[in-house]
Amino acid sequence: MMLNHIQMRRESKSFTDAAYAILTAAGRFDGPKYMLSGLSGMAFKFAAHRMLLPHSVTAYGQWGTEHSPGIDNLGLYTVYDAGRSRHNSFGSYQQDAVNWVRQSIDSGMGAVYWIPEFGVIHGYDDEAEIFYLQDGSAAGTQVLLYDNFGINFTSFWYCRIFGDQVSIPLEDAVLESLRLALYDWETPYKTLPDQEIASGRLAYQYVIKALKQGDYDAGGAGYLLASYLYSRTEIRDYLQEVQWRLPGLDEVLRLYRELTEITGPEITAVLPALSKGLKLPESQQASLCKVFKQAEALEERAMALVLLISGRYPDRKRSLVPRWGAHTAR
Amino acid sequence: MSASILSSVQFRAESLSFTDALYGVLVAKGWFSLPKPMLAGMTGACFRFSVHRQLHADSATAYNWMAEHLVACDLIGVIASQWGGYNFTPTFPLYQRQAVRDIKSSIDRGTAAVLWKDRFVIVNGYHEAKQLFYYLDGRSAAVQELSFGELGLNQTPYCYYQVYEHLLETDVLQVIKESYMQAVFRAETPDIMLPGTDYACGLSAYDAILNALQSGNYDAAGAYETISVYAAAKRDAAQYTRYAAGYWPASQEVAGHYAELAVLYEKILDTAEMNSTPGALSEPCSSFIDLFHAARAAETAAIRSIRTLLHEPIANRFHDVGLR
Repeated sequence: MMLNHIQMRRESKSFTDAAYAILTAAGRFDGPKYMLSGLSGMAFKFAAHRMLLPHSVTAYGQWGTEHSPGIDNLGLYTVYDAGRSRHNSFGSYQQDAVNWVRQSIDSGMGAVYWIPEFGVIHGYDDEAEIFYLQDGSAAGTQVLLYDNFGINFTSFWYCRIFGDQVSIPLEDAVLESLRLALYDWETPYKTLPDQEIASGRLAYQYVIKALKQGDYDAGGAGYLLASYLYSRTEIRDYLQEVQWRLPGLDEVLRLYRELTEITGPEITAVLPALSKGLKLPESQQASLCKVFKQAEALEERAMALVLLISGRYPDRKRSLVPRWGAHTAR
Repeated sequence: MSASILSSVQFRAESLSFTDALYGVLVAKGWFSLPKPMLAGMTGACFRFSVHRQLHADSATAYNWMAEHLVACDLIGVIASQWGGYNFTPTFPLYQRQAVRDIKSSIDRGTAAVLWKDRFVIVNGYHEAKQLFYYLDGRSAAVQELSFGELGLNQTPYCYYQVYEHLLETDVLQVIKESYMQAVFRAETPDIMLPGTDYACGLSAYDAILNALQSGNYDAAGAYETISVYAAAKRDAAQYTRYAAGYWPASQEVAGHYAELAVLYEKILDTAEMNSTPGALSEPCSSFIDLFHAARAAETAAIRSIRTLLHEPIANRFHDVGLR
């Protein structure tokens, strides 16, 4: 069984790329990728390791609780499982997951799977006991043995499928996406008790400090900056599209437009060196830091406006104490 | 079509928590055969301690059900699946539909399920033609009915259910040791889901309780409920650690501290403050407050003795005691 119409392309965060490939192929999402990235809140996620290691880009929290609210905002039913592959129960959850991924493919929907990074399972072969897998690069389809499902060089596994859908009015979804953005902006640490990785506002501090001290991983910094620029451009394009849905959003758009205008050329200029693993010369470093400080101030203003917009509408979800969500990994 | 009921399932309100429901399900299935305090301990449930700073009645149930209950099952080798979410969101009907399917197929496998129905209850059957579930809540002996369409539509805004799929082999001694590590984690680490301005967790819950009692800034009915539920938890902890010492003689000292702790909570339950107004805490006098000072000392000593006992495995987890 193979879903041939799924074609993942690496452009945005890998989770977004994978979800977009699956949902557009299944007719569950219609529109450009930046709309999915914006509505799901994925575009706003910004995390940085102190050393700007490459996993900064995917270390934006506990994936289950990070991704579910975003998928929920698309009106979709979703199920995921994840954990540490060293735990005794892994084998059992692994077998269950192999089954529900196969069923999902039978129903015409691929699965998001941590390779790493996130990729798409888009087919299986029960005789050979293998899944077919895409990572979004040009490499095409890879093969994954059922027995190796969830086993990778990181210590965790993750898989997510999607189901039925309800329709959510766009105004409501836009408002919720802004609230998801605020949460990311205002939560300094998403992987407590670890404090090596910061989110949102504090992520800017981590980037600026690492650049200033010159104590960073060049390749990781390049990846982080490219991802940052891509996602901020997605936010701009998303807001461009939805600005008239809520009063005051045009001003937020203006700030993100300015942010991409000032960061775009700076980041583009440093990427060639960083991608070769070369640290930046003093002058470029200083200039990049300066621009990042300006970008932080712009995003701070944008989020202050988002907070005002959000405050104009009731928010029942966030006026209650939940019984799920943020937790410490165990 | 007729009713499908798992008639051997029993629900007894003793631990006054999720543990009562889980125990009823697992015992009926033959997946747990030790006394209930063993389940409360092995899953780490009796070591969980978080309170609302004004001692609201939700103190005992305001915690991360998804995170805690899945770990609870994992510790005892039970493979589970679950869902929790608000019952007023646009996607809720999708999850409700799946919940009905999951719980029915669980009953078909001969396994009851746990459901939040403004408290944790056991779903032990369904009637397809009548489109309803049967459940036990431990309050009335008779089974009660809940239509499929009402599932999750609680007075509280929460929907939650958990179903159980397989049992893995575990080693009781290893489970006990891990539960003690989790006890340390719970004593020292706040539940990050709970806003720290309104809730306090672990040993710092005592500061919140003492502040509330001394300032008079507490909810009388909520305080009564909170204290009653946690007294049950400490009683479970005392019995659990006593049994555990049978498997693991070196843990005798830990058991001693929890025994002392449970005695203090029994004294608290027997005070005039807890008994003069039904279902409410009366204004506490200083001897009542002193009992909480003593309880804090006993529980602090218990955690310290676990840290000593498990010095090496705890050190191997560096700054993250809870991460297995």
